[in-house]
Amino acid sequence: MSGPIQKVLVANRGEIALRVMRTCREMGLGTVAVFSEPDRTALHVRYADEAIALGGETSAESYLVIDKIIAAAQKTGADAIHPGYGFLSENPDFARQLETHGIILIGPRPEAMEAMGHKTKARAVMIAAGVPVVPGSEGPVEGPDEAVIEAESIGFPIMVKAAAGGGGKGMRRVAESSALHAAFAAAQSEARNSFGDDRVYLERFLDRPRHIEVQVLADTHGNCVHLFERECSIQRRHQKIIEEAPSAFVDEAMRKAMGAVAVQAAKAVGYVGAGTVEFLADAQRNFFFLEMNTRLQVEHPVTEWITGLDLVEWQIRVAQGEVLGFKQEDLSFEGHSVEARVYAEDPAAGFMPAPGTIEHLHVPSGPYVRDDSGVSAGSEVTPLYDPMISKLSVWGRDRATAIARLDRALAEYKVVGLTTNISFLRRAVMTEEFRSGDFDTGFVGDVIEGAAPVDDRYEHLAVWAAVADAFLRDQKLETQGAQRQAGDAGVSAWRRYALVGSGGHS
Amino acid sequence: MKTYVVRLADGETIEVGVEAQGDDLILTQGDVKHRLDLRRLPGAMMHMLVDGQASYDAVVEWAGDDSDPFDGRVNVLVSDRVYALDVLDHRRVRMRDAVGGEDEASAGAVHAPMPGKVLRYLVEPGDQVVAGQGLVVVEAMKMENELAAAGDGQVEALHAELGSNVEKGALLVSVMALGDV
Repeated sequence: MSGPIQKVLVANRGEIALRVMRTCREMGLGTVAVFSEPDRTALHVRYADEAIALGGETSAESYLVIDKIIAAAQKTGADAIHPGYGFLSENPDFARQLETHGIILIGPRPEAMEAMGHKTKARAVMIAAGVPVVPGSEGPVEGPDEAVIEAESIGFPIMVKAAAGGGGKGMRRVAESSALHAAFAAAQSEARNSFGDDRVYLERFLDRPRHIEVQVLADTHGNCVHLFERECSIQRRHQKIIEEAPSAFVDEAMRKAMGAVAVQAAKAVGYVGAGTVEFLADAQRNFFFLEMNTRLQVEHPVTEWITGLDLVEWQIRVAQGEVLGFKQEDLSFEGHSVEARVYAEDPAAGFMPAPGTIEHLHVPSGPYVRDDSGVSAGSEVTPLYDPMISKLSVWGRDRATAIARLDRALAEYKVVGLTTNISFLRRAVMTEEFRSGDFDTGFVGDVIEGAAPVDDRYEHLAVWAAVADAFLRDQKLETQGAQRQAGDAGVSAWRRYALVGSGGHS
Repeated sequence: MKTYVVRLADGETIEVGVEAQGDDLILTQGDVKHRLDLRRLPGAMMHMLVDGQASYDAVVEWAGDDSDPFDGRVNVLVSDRVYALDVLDHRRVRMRDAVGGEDEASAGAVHAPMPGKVLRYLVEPGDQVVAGQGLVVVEAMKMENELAAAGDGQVEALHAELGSNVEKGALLVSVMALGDV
């Protein structure tokens, strides 16, 4: 697996496909997109040099079909595949098949994916390597009855988690034995649908921990460094929505300790490429291994902002056998970066996905602002795929500057046509708790609710806009209506025009 | 001058008069007048210059049922806030009142909040349910979403077929309020 890569196929869609292709362009590499039927005009397809139709609508019929991806690489002569995140990115089968076909995977070896992909196996490897883990069941739990026995010995509250899981899917918090049966079934069903593997295990639920992760980078020559931590405690439905680097909670001693443990974890599985070791930390700054994501993370831009490194570039360099150009002692970070994920979802309705068509889009810009969006005006956000439409990240010389900048940039974001969480994100970053840095994973729910408090600051302007719009519309339609025929008293002129127009009886 | 009746989110109604003056509009609310220089932009956006000074972007999206002349629902985005209003001209408000008011929304119905697949029902017709109790699980974007009863009552019927794909707004479960049982 070496030799310079010439052309990269990105086996993904949306913002991450674009993000990878941008670096490929900068490195002078050819880019190949793949797409499902609904994604024919998606941004990643338009951006790439070449694009191959996979057919099919759902992920299972398109982006997850290994044979189709390999055929697309062979047809276009792509010598490497970048899997992005999600889809096939942590699938050891895929990694093995690429090896068989002589295609370079821009990612770790299948053995590392296997060791870390199965959460219960990963826990065993980490325990053997002396890495601290959260107390829990030793392996997958057979059934709900066994789960009750196990749970009672571990202690409530408890988390039921998909053994093959990730991304907050197939995960349930249970407070007492009586609720375990239902949660077990729900987690199993979600695990089966998301990962094709319905095994679940139990882990003690830490009360309001912080979720902090460490970025690692390893080459094929035995070098492995960490690129400091990211704070990812602001979550809803167990999914991160605001991330930052560095963490306001981590001091220099904790940073050194976590970094060393993360490198140790990566080395324990012979890791190659960019990966992330996730930890839960309690208020006393104890930290426990949670899982390792053997891929690029959504939130990698905050690390890129503070280190000045392009993680995708280093993924590609390492994949073609290059030696890491730096040692741990060469690395440092500067300033502060915060990222917010913009979702098509309705915070007031429990953060439910809110698919729709983007009619108008204005993305923020200006100093130290980076918008990684995977959509454009006219894009449809379908229920078929993840509802994230963009991740917005900023840099500032210190944390307060970065937060003010993120708020400014969020205010510039205009998405018309569907409901987004932008207003919620602004409320979140402006809370006293977020600004002080004193928060944990209970932030959404404890500190801030999805539903916005009444805010009538702009209500009078909304009234004027609506009334003005109605007036101009009525005026125009009345003029047109008068040219057609005299009105009947029951229906107003503009309504009649609308009916005639749509019925085609003119 | 044409007068519009605006119902705000909290149910309060206000009247706003509008008249054209050159390229501008003059809005009258009580005894206060404002001059509005309004420019339409692509994508339903508009820009408002209020009294030749204050500057705002807004998006006006008419959300009412087109076949109902008395449905003036509209969503207006200003800054990052969406305001749900109801705007009808004065004449139509009088007609609506004469006809006898609006339709009553069915009180105990659970509708799909987004397009998705009906994964499982957690209740059967005839079951007594309490507010907040899960009734049905809908899958969208790989996430399972449990939809709960808004109030206490008895399950009347399950409407969508199990495993079927439903559109946003589809009726899933109807619940009779306790008082009606």
